[in-house]
Amino acid sequence: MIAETGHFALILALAVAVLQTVVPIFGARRGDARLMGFAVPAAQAQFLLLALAFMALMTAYVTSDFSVQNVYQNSSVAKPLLYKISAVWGNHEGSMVLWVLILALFGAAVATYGRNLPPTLQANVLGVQGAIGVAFLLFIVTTSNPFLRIDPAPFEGLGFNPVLQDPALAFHPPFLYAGYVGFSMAFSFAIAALIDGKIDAAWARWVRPWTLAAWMCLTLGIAMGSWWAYYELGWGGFWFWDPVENASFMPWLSGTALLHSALVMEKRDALKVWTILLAIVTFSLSLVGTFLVRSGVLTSVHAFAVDPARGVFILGIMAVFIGGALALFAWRAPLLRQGGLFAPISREGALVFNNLILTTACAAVFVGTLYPLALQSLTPEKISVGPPFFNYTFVPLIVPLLVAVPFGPFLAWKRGDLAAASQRLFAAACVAVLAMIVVAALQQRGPWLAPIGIGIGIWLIGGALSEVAFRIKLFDAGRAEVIRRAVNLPRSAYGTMLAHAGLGLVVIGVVATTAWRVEDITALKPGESTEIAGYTLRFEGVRESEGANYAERVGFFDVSRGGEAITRLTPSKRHFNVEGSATTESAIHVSWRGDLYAVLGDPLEGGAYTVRVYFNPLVRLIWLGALVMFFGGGVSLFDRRLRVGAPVRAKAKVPPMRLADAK
Amino acid sequence: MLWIIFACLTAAVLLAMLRPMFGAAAPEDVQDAKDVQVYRDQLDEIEADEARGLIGKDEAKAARLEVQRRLLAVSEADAKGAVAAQTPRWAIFAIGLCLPAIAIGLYAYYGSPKLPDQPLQARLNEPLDQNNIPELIARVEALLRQKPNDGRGWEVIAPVYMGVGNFDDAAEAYRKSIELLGGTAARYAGLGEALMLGNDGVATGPARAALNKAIELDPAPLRPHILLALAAEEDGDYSDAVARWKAIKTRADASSRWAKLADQKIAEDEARLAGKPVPQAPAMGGVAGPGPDQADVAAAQTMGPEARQSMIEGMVARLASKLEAQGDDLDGWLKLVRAYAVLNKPADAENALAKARSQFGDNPAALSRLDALENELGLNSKG
Repeated sequence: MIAETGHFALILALAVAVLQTVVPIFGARRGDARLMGFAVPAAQAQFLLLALAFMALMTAYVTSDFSVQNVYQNSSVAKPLLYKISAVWGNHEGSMVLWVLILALFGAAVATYGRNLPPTLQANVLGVQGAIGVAFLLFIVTTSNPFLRIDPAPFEGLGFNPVLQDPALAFHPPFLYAGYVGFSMAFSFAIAALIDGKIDAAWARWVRPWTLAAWMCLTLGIAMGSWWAYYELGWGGFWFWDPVENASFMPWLSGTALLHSALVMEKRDALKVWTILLAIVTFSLSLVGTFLVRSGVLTSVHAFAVDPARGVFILGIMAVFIGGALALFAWRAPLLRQGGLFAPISREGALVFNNLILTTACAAVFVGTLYPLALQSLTPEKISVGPPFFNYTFVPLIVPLLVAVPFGPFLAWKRGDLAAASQRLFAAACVAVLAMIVVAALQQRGPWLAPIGIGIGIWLIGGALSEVAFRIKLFDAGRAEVIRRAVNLPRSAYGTMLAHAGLGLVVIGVVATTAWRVEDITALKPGESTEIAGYTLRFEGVRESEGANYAERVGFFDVSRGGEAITRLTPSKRHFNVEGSATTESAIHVSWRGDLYAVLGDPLEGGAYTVRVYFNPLVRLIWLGALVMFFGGGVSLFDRRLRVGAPVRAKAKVPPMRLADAK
Repeated sequence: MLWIIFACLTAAVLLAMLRPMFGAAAPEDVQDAKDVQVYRDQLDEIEADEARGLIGKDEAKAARLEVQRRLLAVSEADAKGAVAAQTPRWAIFAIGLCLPAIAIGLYAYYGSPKLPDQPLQARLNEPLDQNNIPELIARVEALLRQKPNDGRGWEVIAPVYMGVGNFDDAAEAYRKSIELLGGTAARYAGLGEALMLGNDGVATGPARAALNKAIELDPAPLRPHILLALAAEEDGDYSDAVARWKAIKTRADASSRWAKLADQKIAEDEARLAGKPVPQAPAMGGVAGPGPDQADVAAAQTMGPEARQSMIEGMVARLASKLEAQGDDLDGWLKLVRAYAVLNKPADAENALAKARSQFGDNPAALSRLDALENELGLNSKG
């Protein structure tokens, strides 16, 4: 009964989505406030129904109801509760339900907190959002229905990919999807504005919080995915330029560009056409990401749906939404009025520079990801584009941007003063250069580019801090004045600082790990030791033990440095009985210098084991930086000026005095 | 019940969505107040920035001018504002009809309203299907997971694991039952045998300890003695092996296969001790093998890690024993013969055929079906 109720709720949500698409847009065309208002309860109902369906599916997982085919295929009785729950979205059907659930959540949020939007805009936005919901719900119900049943129910399920049985991965997809799907909001706003023909600075302010929320979730989602790959796949790498990773990185790049260009549009009413285009492109890239992962064109851990019928369906969805949006854009964009003008050296100019580079970098990733696929489908040739391609295209593109980032916030709108900005950044530049020299002096091995990379990271952090220091006159004013300024400084300024400083941390982490990581692959017998980066690892032997749904072989390594015992590492290899496959559990010792990372390999002749040990200097900064960026976004989101659903103000008309001032 | 839930759900959704349709329409001027609000906020911000000295006076002035221009544009658009439209009645009816029509139509196609939920707990409470060994095992395992201190459960499942060739789990189950219920000769014997078979027939220290313990508790059962004799042979300690086999022979029933096995082993090991060629084992079905219970050993060797295969064999064995007890099931016999043929055991298949023939000797229809099956499977060695 629970399963069938969930199924019905899912289908009812589809019916609601159909109405949510048709009625409000029709109402907006007619200027009928009631029909437009229909969008609000419809979006809320759609969310509640999908939440009900999702809960029903989760209940089936938790109670091991194998009469639900999806549960039978992706779960087993012995699995720990957390993974019974995360298995709900660890498979194709369930993850699509999560996808539309988040879509509906954003829709409901706009319906509930979007009272500051003009009704026509809100109706059109929710209508477009409803249309996306219809497409994906139809996809789920017809080709990927998680509520199909089996009778009689098998006693034991087929299990769940052990690689995915991991806490980080339990939470990675929800955030990633929140990011992907969140950009649908920007898309819906863009389409709604194009339908309405009304695109102005106010629009940019309305769309920004939603874009920012999506960007935050995507940032965290990508970081979690990278963190998971780092410790679960057992190779000690944090980013592989794998197509699935690129699929999430592309919307991040263009979404970051969108955030910045929306800023220009909000302040100066400029870059309107470009911002709308970016909104469309960003969501299109999210759809491409979904397509890449879902259709099975990629053979990797993530491609759990290898089914051409689904691929064709998703391709259809993409053709309709991307093609339709671009056609609408081509038709309506020329009608937009050009906004404010600005000199090349100005805040706007800096943001345009940011946009140019981010979109070009995004294009490079796009080519590197899709060209091999296209070539493979058109010709028999099979090429593989690996990290070298991205290192030679993406990295040189992004470096000038990183150098330029600290300048942006120092430039004034319209016409900036580069010399003045440089002066204010003098301290940060000195620190960065000093860091470069120190690092170069201390560096024993590694590429000559490494000190420069570290310098850029320090420069980013220093620049971000200098900006705030300058704005609160940290060194030029009395303490009371500084505190007053610090309190009054808009939160978005702190958000900018955190986001840019977080980026600096990421850069330092990436450069340090890439340039100076040490690895050692060796065979050890119990009692033998190996040395790496000043640590001595003594292999004490292995022990077999039993987990909830796996058997594991745990290796014991006593770690010491300079004769002083530091810790004991216990990497293991798990064998999952139901699924019949194994996973590597690396053991990591975290210190401020970096991670000591050990992996237990297979036994060799004569009682020895293959052991892989890595030392990854400063690798934590990558995820720490992402976290800082996430919080930066959060701080910005709670800026009074972007707050959504502000309590209804007293409905005073515009004071005519001010208008008179303008004349 | 289910349909009542569906009806309530649909009604609730319809009610929530249609309620605003009957309320008063929002006043029209709200529309533009929203953009005006944004621009007013922007003006406030410019003022605040100027007051804080973040922007200069001239810059503030220019920015203010720009925002005010936007405000003007909005006010102009205001003047052209839309006229409130009357909501057509048919639209409300259409919504009220479409929602249930789409939902029920799709659900009728994709749903399975008649199927109840079957969570684990419900399945555990269902009557047992005796013939489904994998399910049996899964059920006991599920129960044991809930009550891991149920020694009886471990005791019950241990021989089942042995039967399907899962010796590691069997050893674990025996160990648990000893731990929880105390050691008996039978449990120690089982543990020793499981450990030995799980290790390709080689007796390790723990296996021997368990077998010795079993003999200590009750010297009567032959099985542990036989296993220890085999272990001695494996060690190359042939004089010990001969002594053990002799002891076994005196205690075994002279006509039993154990006695025959002991005879043969004594001959072999004495030959080895004397350095003579080992006499060839006579082809005695089921006795000449290296282990006491050939079925188990054969199972262990042929199945390997393939749990599925072992389960099939377990099921076949079960069917065979059932037919031994109750032979009047023709379909059962046919199934068994076919199963043996599929498992590539022609001798067993022939054997089962012969038994079935004697069972149905007075039933020509049954005999002809057995003949047909024999021909079909190519078992007909008589030509």
